[in-house]
Amino acid sequence: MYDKYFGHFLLNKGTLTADILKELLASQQNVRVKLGMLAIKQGLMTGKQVEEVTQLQRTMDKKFGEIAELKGYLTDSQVGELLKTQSESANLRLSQAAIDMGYLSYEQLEKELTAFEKESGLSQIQIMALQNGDPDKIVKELLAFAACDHTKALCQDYVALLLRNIVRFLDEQPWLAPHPAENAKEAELVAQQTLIGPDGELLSNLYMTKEFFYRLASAFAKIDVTDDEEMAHAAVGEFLNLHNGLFAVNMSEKNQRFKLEPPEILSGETDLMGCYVEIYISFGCCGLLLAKKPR
Amino acid sequence: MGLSQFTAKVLVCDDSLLIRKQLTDFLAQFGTYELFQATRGDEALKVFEETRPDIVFLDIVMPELDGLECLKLMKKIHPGVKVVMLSSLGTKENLRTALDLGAVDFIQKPWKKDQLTQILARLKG
Repeated sequence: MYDKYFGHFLLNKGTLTADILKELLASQQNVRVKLGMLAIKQGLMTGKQVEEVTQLQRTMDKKFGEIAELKGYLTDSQVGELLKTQSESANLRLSQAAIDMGYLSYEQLEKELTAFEKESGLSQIQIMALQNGDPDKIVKELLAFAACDHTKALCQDYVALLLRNIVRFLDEQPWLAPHPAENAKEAELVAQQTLIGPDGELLSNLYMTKEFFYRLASAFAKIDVTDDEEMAHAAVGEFLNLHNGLFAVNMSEKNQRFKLEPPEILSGETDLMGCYVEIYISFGCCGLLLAKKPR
Repeated sequence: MGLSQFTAKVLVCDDSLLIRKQLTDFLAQFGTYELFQATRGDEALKVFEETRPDIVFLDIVMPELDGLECLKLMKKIHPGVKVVMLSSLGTKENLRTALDLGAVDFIQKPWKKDQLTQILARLKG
């Protein structure tokens, strides 16, 4: 998720266009993060040094680590440590894709990474949570839910589980919008389900464009349902029902019992207020609103 | 006797068209099933009384009448029916209630093919 935030930081600064960011996000799955990138991220080499070693690699039959050692930029043990972390460096795939595709140089990247940590508005703890990648930690650090103080912990648990379920059932890598609107924007379709709990009803609402709705339905059903409205409604409803069922199971282990009403697909806006977040996946953004109705 | 020779009347009760399709497509691969479907709790009971199925796959979250209420009434009408609960709401409490009411098994959604194959193999006995 760190990568997605960094990408949007570059977009907001105008370093990348929306089309380029989209291209990078689409291609990053196949990117292998290189040693030079890790060395910059860990502060072991400057962007200029990495550029120099990369240039030398074109004229010498040696690996990046070997040349960096020859130049005295890295020690043998530092190269060893970098190699160990190479396979766990999914956070830097977008940055590597930007280098590989020629949109950024290593020197530019070094400056942008430093600027991101200073200017993104995220605290060090939040950045560490993003780098760690654990949805529970990310949600806890990023979502203040100031407007819903009494249900904050419940909403955080709900969103963290939704992020995990998006990975589990849609095979997507979700991320949370850094500065969501205060409440739901206009949406074409809303998937809604009521959870009846010990203190009242919790209304879970997923706000989507039609395009997002049909793509979500197809991703969940594992078949193309673009031309089958009834099946698309069933698939999105079942996705929400499955998620809420798992949420209810988790809550029952904390001695909070929730019953579920069948999910519904509604069109147009609702005037509900509550805890609101925006979640991005590869095919766009959807809004999640959790509205609590006291008993 | 393999699953392919299994003959039974099966009622699938779930408000989701997707789940009904996935389940009936899966069952159609095995044996000679006479398949019936219902989308709501009250409809499930009506179809149950009319068709007297051997096996029922029953969701919990359904409109009008929930699956656990349906289970209770189905067992009253036909105590020998084999009911498999199939739900996203797999809390310990629901599991206990379903088994107390006479369900033969409880599958937490999303169901897996292996899981269902094993249950069908048990039911054919």
